Amino acid sequence: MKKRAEYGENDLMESFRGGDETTLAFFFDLHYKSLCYFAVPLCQDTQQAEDIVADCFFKLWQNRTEFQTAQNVKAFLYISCRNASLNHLRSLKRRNAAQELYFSQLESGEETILYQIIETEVLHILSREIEELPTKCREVFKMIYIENKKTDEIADLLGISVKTVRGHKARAIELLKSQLLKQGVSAVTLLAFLFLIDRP
Amino acid sequence: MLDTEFHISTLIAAQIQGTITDAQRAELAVWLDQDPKHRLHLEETYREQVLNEKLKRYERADREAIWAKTITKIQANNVEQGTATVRMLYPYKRKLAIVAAVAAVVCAAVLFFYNDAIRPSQNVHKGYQNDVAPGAQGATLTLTNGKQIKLSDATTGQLAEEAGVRITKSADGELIYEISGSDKKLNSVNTLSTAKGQTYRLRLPDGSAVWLNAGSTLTYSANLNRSYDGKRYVMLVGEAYFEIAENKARPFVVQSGTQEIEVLGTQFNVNAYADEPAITTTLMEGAIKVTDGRRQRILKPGQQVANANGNLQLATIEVDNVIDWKDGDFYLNHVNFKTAMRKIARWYDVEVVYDASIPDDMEAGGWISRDKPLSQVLKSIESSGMVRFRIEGKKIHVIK
Repeated sequence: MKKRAEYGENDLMESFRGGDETTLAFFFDLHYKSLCYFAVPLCQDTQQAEDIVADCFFKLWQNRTEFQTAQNVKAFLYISCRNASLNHLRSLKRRNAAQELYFSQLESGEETILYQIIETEVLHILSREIEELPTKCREVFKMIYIENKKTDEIADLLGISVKTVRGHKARAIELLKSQLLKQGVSAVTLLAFLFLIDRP
Repeated sequence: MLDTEFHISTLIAAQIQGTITDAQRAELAVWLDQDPKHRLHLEETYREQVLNEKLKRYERADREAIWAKTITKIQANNVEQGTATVRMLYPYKRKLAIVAAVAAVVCAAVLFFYNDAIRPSQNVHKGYQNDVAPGAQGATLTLTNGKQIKLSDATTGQLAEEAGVRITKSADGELIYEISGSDKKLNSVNTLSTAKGQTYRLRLPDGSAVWLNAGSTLTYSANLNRSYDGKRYVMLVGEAYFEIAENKARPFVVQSGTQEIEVLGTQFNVNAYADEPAITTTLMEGAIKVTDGRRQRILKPGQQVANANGNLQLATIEVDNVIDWKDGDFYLNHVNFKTAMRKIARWYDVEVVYDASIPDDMEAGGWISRDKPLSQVLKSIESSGMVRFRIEGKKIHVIK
């Protein structure tokens, strides 16, 4: 499995280093949401955060010959985003309470930032899984879980019956969990086991 | 850089989605135990309501605005440098093209590997020309931190030192656990699993011995302790023979599905394969109690309880039929034919295909060593004149 994945990635990285702008677009689409999610709270300013994110992709493109793996690209983007946010906060004459908090955390090299990276990456994975759902399913799922819309509201908006909305919702959850079912008994029993053994 | 963070995030995402594997769960447990802040992060950040809000915020980024800013920066720089302006296309259509290209490469690779893998079996041999070697000693040990040790490859001596536990492999291949340090943090979870065609023997820290048959998994914590009652506790999927060291103060519990077997010190066999119609527990020595929900049976030596969906059926049986595998044999006298074939399939890692003419209630017969190649086992069964076999790659066809 790994070999195949690496083959695809090597190809991609070679195009990237060679200056193929479609690969920049590929990385952009893969990471722009994560970087915004990461930078907006640090800057406490959406416009500023967008500038910083764009700047990170610009720097990535300038240094494109340096990157060996897609994960290097991702790490570079996060680190430059963190540094640029720190520089921005440093340049401000006045900082609000939240900015002050992030600034002191960033300056002291606090690990909070690492938790923010983990959180962002988790959302990245979940978001991509949701995107893979069949179209109608995905629309319904997003409306319920992300936009907090009610079932009848969604039925109205999409022009389908309440029953169909419920069907899509159930199917979305089923698809997201289907891996669990495939794994079958072992995952479930191990979970039970972990609850039973003693904890420190 | 950030490798750990990226890796942990995949584990957490898998946990949220419910797709986490046993090994990943063990890895995540290690990370959580490293620092109370880690656990706090997990517990606080991904609660359902919070998570919806976060996903909403995650999806809010303005793609067009940021892309436009990015291109502007790049083109401005190109002009400054005097390099030709790169034609920066709007990414949508190009993105599809590259996704398709990557997909095509992957497909080609899959086809390539797949073809390679199936080539040998394209030569269809009739009869016994392509024989199957018997299974052997071997297993995979998965430690709490996700580290996997292939025991067939591992040399003897010390394999791992986990919080207070030393794991060694003896000269004759037995896996031995010894409690060496203080008894803190001994709740690390280990999993010993055998593939089809493998068998393994291990000695637990309380001195109990376990023989694991092919295609089986034993899960246990290093101190074997169950939190709420202090009993010794393991979980089994597949088949194992237990020789439990006596400790009246701490009974030993084997769980398979919803069934629990409780013992003080004794020898018994548990067959809990998913493809068998019932979990069978057979007692050789001592006394054991088998419980499933509210139903309960106490066994005497030579008795077997078959648990089909919580229905416990007690019978006196031929013990040799049950522990044959542990002694390296197939003992097939008065054994249901298809049950016997399932035993064989697990050991030789083959699939059995029955002709429609083979009835369900036929009995096998005979006795043969498991060291022999598959052909000899099949020949000994064939000698009864009831059935004939044809081996084709990893498939055994059974005909009248």
